[in-house]
Amino acid sequence: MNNYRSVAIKAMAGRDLRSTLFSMGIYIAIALGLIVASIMLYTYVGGIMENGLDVMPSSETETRYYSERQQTPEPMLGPLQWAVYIGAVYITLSASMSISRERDQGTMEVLFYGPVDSIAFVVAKFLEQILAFGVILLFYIGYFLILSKVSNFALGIGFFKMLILSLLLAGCMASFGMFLSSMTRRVKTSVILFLVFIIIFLTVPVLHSYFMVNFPGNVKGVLSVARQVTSYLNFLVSWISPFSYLQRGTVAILLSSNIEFIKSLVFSLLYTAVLLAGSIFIFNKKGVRR
Amino acid sequence: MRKYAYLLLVVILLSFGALAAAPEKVEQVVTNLLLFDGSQWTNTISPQEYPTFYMLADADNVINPTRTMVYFWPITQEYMADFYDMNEEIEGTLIVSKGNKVIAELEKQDYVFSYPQGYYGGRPEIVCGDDAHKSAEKYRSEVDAYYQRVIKWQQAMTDYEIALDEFWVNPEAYKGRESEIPQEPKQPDYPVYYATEVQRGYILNLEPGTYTIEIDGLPETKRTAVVFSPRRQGIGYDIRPEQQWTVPRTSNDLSETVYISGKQTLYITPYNGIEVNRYMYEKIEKLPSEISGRGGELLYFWMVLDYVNDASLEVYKDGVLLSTVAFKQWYVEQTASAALGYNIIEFDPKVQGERAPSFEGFKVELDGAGRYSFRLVNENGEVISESERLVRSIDPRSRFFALVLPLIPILVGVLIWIWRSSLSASDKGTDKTSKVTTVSR
Repeated sequence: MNNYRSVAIKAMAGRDLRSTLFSMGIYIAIALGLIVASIMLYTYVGGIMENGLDVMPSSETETRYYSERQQTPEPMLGPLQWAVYIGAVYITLSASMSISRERDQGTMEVLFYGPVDSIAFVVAKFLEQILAFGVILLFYIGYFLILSKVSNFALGIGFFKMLILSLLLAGCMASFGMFLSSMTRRVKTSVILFLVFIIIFLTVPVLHSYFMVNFPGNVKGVLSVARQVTSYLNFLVSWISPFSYLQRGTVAILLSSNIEFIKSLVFSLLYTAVLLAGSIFIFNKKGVRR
Repeated sequence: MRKYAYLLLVVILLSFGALAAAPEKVEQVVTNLLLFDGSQWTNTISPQEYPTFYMLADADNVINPTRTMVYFWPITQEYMADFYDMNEEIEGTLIVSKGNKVIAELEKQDYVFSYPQGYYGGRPEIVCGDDAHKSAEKYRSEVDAYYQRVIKWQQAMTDYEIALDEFWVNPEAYKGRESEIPQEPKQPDYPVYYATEVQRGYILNLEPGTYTIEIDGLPETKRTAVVFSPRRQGIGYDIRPEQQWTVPRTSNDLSETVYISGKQTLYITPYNGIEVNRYMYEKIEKLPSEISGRGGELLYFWMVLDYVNDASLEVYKDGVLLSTVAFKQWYVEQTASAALGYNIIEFDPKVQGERAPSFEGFKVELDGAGRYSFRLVNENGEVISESERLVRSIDPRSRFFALVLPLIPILVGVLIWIWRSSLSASDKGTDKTSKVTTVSR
């Protein structure tokens, strides 16, 4: 990478990170993630106190794809997963506004009079999101270490694998958000797009699971069409939704499958690279002006 | 009277309607299946509508192509065979193929199911060939011997009653001769060993894979056998807390952790288990059903095969052996008051009489502090693999921390906001640029 470009990336990423850390948004997102984790842990402890005991599966006990009975995952893994989801959604929202906001406010045009090009700009924005997520993770790690020490809940190897995976999820989410942002000229449009996609990503797998489990393969009529349509949609979502990449990795962790885990890491990196390249391409097409 | 006559007519007409609802039977060749489910054999059929059946690998399964009458029973959504109406077993050589390669040509064999520990105890075994006849003969001879003993016992009972009558004529006469007082003869026990009658069928024992089976030259007997293995197998536990003995928690995997709260008394019952695909396993038990296995294609579950009662349990605390516990039977005794309550006591047949034990297992008492583990040890003192479990005691104070810790990020955010506000307040009205410029000069 050219020297001027790396200087520009550092400067822009540093500036944006400071701006993020000096705002309340990131702390509210962290607190929300921890609140969800706390609710789950509070429930676990309450259940154990009420019933005298509970058996909690660790990394290898979850059955593939779906678990047979409603069982709690490794006690620290489930809460971390949900906290990561919330942190990642914040990162996506932030990323989805990053490019469109600068374009909307006209600051982008000013920036490009200096030694800044599209690659430097997109990479800097991406780096800033990853660093911000790193800060979120630091809070999460501190929280779970303290609670593990206090509660005696085990921190299994799955927990640490999930931390690595979550960084890559953040990469996927940030690149996805930036891809959306690069396509729009206004912040409002970016946010609407973000919300639409998040709703689609979260509802399609649920609908698909509902139709598959509750209606047999030989069902006829509308239900048959619904099964088919949700199958196609779910397949599509499983490749374009950043959540799916975390889900794949989580399944790999639960199965203790190192090969699947590494595959999920590679897929996440590929996803990130493709979307970043797409963002740069669209950015160049659309230009820097409002 | 006429009213009742009309009523009767209506009932008769309605009953004809009900008869019309009888399912239509169709003559066809089904494959009668006796499939091993991990602990015993279960009977189902593979009609033409369900040409693919599922069976466990490396186990003897019995199949019998049979011509019979088949009908669909809408209430339970399954195909059924009426073997009373027609039951013609098809003879011939059974060809087993994998892909295009014939891997076996089988003839029918004699077989029996034998129950060495009795019909209601222990696992049955399948015995084939000449041994099948020996097993059936062994059961018959044991039953014959039993009836011989019964005849002798009945004679002995008659003699006993006569002797007892004599005794009651003058009991005083037996003073000093107590050993001559008539003793009631013990009723003979029915033989424990049981074996079924000798039957004939094709015995299939295959490795995992998909196979085609067919009686040579009879395409209507063609079926597909999907042979599968359990995904995992090992020792599982039913763990009962003393205060909820009716709600055992299961632990099927080595990596599961048992969390307890405070001082606990646990009753732990070990079992051998296999983890199998739900769809395939349910199809072993009921193949031609629309409902069985539905939605279970991607599910795996642990199936309890049999309980382990010939081992002892070692309990460790912080890595040091705390105790070795023996397997016992337990009886739940309700407390003698109107209020609900119970005590779990060791089962004693002399005290509990004809009653059965409530459950069996190891009693483990934990004081609630530290980290525990337990594992099974067999009669030779060897640790049974996959039997270890960790037990951790949960600190209730963690609930307080769970409530407080999420506030910390908010606090950090607020502190940063206050700091930033104080900075902007102190900078108000100051020309920082000129100030810096002055310093540099």
